[in-house]
Amino acid sequence: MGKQLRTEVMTINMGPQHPSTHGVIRFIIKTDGEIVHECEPDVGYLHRSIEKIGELMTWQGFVPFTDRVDYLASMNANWAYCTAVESMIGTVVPRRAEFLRVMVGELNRISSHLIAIGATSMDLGGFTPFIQLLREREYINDLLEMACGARLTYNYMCIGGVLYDVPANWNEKVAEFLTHFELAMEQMNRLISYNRIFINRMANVAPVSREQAIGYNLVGPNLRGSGVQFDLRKNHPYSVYPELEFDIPYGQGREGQVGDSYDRYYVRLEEIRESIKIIRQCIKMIPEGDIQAKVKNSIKPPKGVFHSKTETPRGETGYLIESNEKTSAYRIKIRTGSFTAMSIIPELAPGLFIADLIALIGSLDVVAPELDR
Amino acid sequence: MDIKTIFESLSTALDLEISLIEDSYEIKIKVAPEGLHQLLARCKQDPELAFDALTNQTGIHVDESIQLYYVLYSYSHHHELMVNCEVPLEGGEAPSVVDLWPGADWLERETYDLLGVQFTGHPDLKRIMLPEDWEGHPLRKDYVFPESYQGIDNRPSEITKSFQQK
Repeated sequence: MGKQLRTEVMTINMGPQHPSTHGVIRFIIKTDGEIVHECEPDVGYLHRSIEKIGELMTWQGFVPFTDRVDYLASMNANWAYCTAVESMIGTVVPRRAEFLRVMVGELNRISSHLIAIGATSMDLGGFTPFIQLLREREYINDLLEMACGARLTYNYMCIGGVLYDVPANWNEKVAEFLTHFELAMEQMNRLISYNRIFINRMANVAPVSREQAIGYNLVGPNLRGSGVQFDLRKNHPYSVYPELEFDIPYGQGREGQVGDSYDRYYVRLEEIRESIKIIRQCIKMIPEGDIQAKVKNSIKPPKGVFHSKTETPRGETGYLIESNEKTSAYRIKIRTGSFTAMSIIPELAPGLFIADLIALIGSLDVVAPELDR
Repeated sequence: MDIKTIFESLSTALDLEISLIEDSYEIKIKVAPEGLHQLLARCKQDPELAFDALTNQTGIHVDESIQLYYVLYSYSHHHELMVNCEVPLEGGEAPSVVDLWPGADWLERETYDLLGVQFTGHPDLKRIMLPEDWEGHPLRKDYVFPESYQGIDNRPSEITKSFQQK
């Protein structure tokens, strides 16, 4: 006793198959005991060369592949690509289709955030909320299945609108679900969000300053968690978002510093509430009418390089597309939120406990297929 | 601020040859690789422009060159700018902008990995998506898919071939 313990830096491997890395991602961690000295993410295990496939497919034929870019929010991934191509060819999407897109997009945003929240709590040892939230997500899957027949990779949107109209009583079903869901969320919040043990695990862990967040190009909830009130749906509105009322939640240091893991977590929670608000307005406002604009079979957008961005659950999804006036794109570059979120981990990890690193990864909501593409 | 005003402000402030690219979409600013870092640094530091984020960076293989694109965004002024820079296909080099935006690190690694552009001054330029012993850069138009990798047969099956012929 009393003698100094001899310690040394040890390199350990986390992943690629690890329950708390949210998919196949590998971390090479140098630790001294429990303290992380250095953490290097090794990505690319799910690289399916979707960008290269985009050069081989027709413009319309690439839509199902965008599902696989982010399988937790396929609707939004479809939407990001379709919006880009529609802007390129100057198609105006019918109003009913825009509302349907907003509704399914926001439903999918809720289900994606449910996974983010649930998986974070599961990583930190709380298994019950995850199961509970998966049950709620199942109802959303049912609703989206009614709309398009699929439960994970929807392929619901097409260039110029949506593929199918929703069944007659769909709006009532959605309204019914939202009423049920608000209660379920309250139950979930009592169980985990306001739970002192959970807050102590998340608060003050790996705070990201405003400058860091912008410099590392974090987007979406991760950016807003650091106190930047920015949302593409408000700041550069597309679709029918200008007509809808909603707020941009942002990190205010609820339980600790601004931009800590709990802030990022809480922003997602608030966004779910905003999405509920948006869907409720859509149910009232959705008009009757066409669901598809008339688009030629072989689309040939004008020559040039186009950059479009939309707000998906994991933040800004940017499509940089070069068109050659051919039936397929010359080059498609997809810029996703997970990719930049992952790149900040080597900066934040030093000094954290290994257990806190898990909280950090969970709070950044990294999804492996979106990261590797 | 619209792009033509940004262009004028940049061309008066810097002693560089920059030009505008006008295609069917947004106007882009074109610059030679030698002046790229200076231009982007000005874009970031000028309080009128204040491009504090590099939202996207990539390259496109066109004929004998790689066209690099930098998409900048300003969170204070809410404007966007696309900068284009042409580097030759073989031995193409561009200055790294990691010192301006730390987020450029991974974006440049990806461009290096998939298109083979060297970024001088990058702290750790290595492959990111593909294994480190992979040969070639797949997003180049002249890329030929390898027949095997580490003894694993990669040749397309008969079924795949029947689809490819169509």
